[in-house]
Amino acid sequence: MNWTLILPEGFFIASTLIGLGCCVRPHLMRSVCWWSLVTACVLSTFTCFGLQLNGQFTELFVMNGLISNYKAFFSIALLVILLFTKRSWFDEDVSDVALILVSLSALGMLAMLSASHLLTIYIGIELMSLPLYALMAMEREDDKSLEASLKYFVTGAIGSGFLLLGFALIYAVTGQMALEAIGTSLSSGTFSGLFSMDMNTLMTGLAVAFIMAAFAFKLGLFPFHSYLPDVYEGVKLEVLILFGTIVKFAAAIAFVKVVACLGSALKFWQPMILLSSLASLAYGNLMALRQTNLRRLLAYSSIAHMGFFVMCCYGLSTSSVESGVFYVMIYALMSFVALGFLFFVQNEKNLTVSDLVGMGKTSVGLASTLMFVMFSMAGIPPLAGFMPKFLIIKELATAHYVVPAVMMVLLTVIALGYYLAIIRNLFFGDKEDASLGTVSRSASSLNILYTGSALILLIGIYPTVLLQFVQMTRLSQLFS
Amino acid sequence: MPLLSLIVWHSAIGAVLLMFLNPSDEKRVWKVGLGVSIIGLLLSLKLYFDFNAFESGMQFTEKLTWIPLIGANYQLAVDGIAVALIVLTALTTMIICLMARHLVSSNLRDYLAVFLMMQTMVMGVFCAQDALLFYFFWEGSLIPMYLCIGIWGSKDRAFAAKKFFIYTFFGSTLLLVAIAYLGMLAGSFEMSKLAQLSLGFHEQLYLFIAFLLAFAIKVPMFPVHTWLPDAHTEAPTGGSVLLAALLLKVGGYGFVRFSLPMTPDAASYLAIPMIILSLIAIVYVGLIALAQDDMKRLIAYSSVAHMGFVTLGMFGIYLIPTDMQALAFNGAMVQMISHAFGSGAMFLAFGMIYQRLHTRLIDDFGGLAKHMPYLAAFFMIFSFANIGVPGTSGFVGELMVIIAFMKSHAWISALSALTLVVAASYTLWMYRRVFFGPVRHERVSSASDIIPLEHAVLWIFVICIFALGLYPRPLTDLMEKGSHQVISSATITKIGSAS
Repeated sequence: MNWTLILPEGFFIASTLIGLGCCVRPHLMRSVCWWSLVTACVLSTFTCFGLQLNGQFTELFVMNGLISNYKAFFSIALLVILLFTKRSWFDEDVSDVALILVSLSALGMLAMLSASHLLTIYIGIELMSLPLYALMAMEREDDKSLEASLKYFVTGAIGSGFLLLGFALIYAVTGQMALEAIGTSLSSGTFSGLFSMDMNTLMTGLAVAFIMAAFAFKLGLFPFHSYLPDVYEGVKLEVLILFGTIVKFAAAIAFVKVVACLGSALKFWQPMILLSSLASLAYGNLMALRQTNLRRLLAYSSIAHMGFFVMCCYGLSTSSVESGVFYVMIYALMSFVALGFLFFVQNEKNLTVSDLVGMGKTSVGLASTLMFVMFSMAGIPPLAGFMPKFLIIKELATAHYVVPAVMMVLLTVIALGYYLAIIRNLFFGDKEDASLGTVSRSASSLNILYTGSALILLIGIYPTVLLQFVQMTRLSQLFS
Repeated sequence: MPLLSLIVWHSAIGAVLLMFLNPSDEKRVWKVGLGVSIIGLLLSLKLYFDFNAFESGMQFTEKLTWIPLIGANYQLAVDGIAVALIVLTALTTMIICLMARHLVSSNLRDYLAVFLMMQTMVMGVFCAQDALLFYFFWEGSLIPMYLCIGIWGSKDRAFAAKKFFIYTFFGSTLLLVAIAYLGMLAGSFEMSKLAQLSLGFHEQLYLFIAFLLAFAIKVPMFPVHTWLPDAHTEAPTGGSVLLAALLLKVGGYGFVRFSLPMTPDAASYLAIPMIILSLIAIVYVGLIALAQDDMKRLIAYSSVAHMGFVTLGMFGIYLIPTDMQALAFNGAMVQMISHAFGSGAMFLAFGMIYQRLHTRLIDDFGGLAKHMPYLAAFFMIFSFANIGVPGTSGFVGELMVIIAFMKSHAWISALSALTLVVAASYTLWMYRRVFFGPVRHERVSSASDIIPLEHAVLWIFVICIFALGLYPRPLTDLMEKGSHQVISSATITKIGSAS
């Protein structure tokens, strides 16, 4: 067994253990946890870039160039978020163990990225979600935080039940648990023999439905999105930044993996993906129009974005998966900057869109950052949000699915309503004094935010570097 | 030297540089902004003189790989039509920057930066030879225009900016799908390759409609013109001038680069409806202009009517005999350029009035000629250009289109010639109510006449109007080869031809 393959995970296990070991010395705990987690991120980034990790670690776990790239992106993203929110983890009202939970959750996400087995995916999702439930409930005095945690927990539990049921049915049909073996079994038609041939088809369809529902819970897709706005509204901002960026990224990769491995059952996936995508786009965008709270608005916009993303699996091919992964990466970046904006605003939990009036005059830098993100999320070139949308549309056109593509682009027009409303409030107001107070944070946080918005422009103009980063040669690279 | 890249990007670099200056030092900011726009004008003049008008095909080609994964390239090249529009763009931006310090009271730095960004986007549209790059610049121009209307506009600016943005964005979404579809068929986004694809009739029809939605909204054609009066009315003077002089041309240019060469059979099939829509724009929208009581709105509606000639000439080539096609198409192109001077000049001159009197309603004026005699004289020339009086630029393009139809479809000629009557009625009636008659309002008598800077700028327009009107030959020579190319690719059938 080549133990170097699990080095990135190893670093996060080590950081968790170091944190737990410090429980006996509480006054040291926070800084030790923070530094060990940051070190783990840095080391894991270097491992993924530096070492050519290739191969299978038992049946459960795989590492190759593509997955290294995903992990490198993930580690960098986590590192940036930790640096961005550094001060808050040392606040009195944040629990001592918060960073240990973050570390555990990150471990789960890394496992999902590397999974080559249904069990690894399941364990990864659970390991990711359980610490998140606890993190979300961190503000014990705040009803909304508790409500968010409880809602996420309940829906998460149902989702993971669905996922397990789906996996069980796949196992029953194919007799396999490893993703690659499932793929070959389904495409060659060698089944376990438990069911008759007709039943096999039916059961595969059912399994696909259950798995789709489970991932719709995790990604926040219509009709399993209902918890998302409450979670966005209630939880502590630092947790929300994690939840809105890397958690979405890891869940999206796991989703793509499962779809790719069950690619022979694409005819079952397609109607569900299409329906869920169009409904998410329509519902997310229409509901976002009516939101006053900025966090809830971002939640509904996230539903719409995820609705756009899942269409990358509609006509499954290597280039469509590339464009999908590219989409979530860009979305993670935009979501980070948008939520990062809230980090600098007073009373951000109750921030309404109309509170933003006049901000363009009082704090130009922050206001321009938010404007950049909003244009980017709306998909206007030359900003980053445009290219992933175009790539997904192009993949649909390549597979001759022009009608869904047309419907999707038409539904994105609705989104302009709320993105433009935010920009209008920021810059077009006559009010001289902004009612909105800003919080002074460390200069490095501000610089990270500005770098993020500069990246949105740079990637928008020249996306090739990041696109080559996610390039893949064959679909099965995702899981073998 | 990559001349086209310089022409496209120098103003974006200038805009970024501006952001590093101290906004309260208005004089310096203005000097830098003006300097950048003058560099743009010099570069585009260099392009004009280096361009070989007697050679057909694209010139000054630049090609770099941009997104190799999907075969999109950073590819720029120009033909005569593009060169004319590029010079026009540089000239318009220069005039706007020149007037900026005088017309804008707040955020001069950001105002100049927005217009320089807009210049980059518009130049990019005119230079791009890659469909994706074209779309990139096409959509990119929405952001600066939205900010321009929204920040520096008048009372209902937020509404007008939103209407402008959503209208144009909605139109171009289908263009995006069409580009993706064509890119899939051709394996590249190079516009010359896309134009060589052989497409079935129904395929072409769908693509044509997708293109039409995007370009017709931008031009704008009847019945999707309703965003324009609002945008024009609420935009600041510079924004109105740029909108009239350049952004409408971008729509017409889209027809030239996409609809005609890529979907010729569908264009020919739908030529009659397009011509009817153009005629409605010319006559009916002209009549609407007659009923306006807001001066900017009146000029905006007259813009729609004049742009009707552009689409009329373009789609007219499918109806008329081959020997007339070049005349009709060139007429449309000349009309694009001349409309920029006629309408742009009127918006600028009106901006000068608005700055002094702060009202747009025609009834609030009256007797302005007594207190602003020079402006009244200039405005008279611009009004004549707008009507299309012989000797002014407005006459040439319209006459070319009307003559081209005369032989085969006299009724189209007759109907479109009505514009001379209609335009004369609304323009002269407006002129009489604004400039002549007794002074009815207090503030009119307090208005002072134009300052030397304004004189200089208006003289530029006057010179251009008369130069084009009396001797349009250099312009038509410049565009001839390009037009010929477009006509020849627009009139061959693509159904069943080997790809």
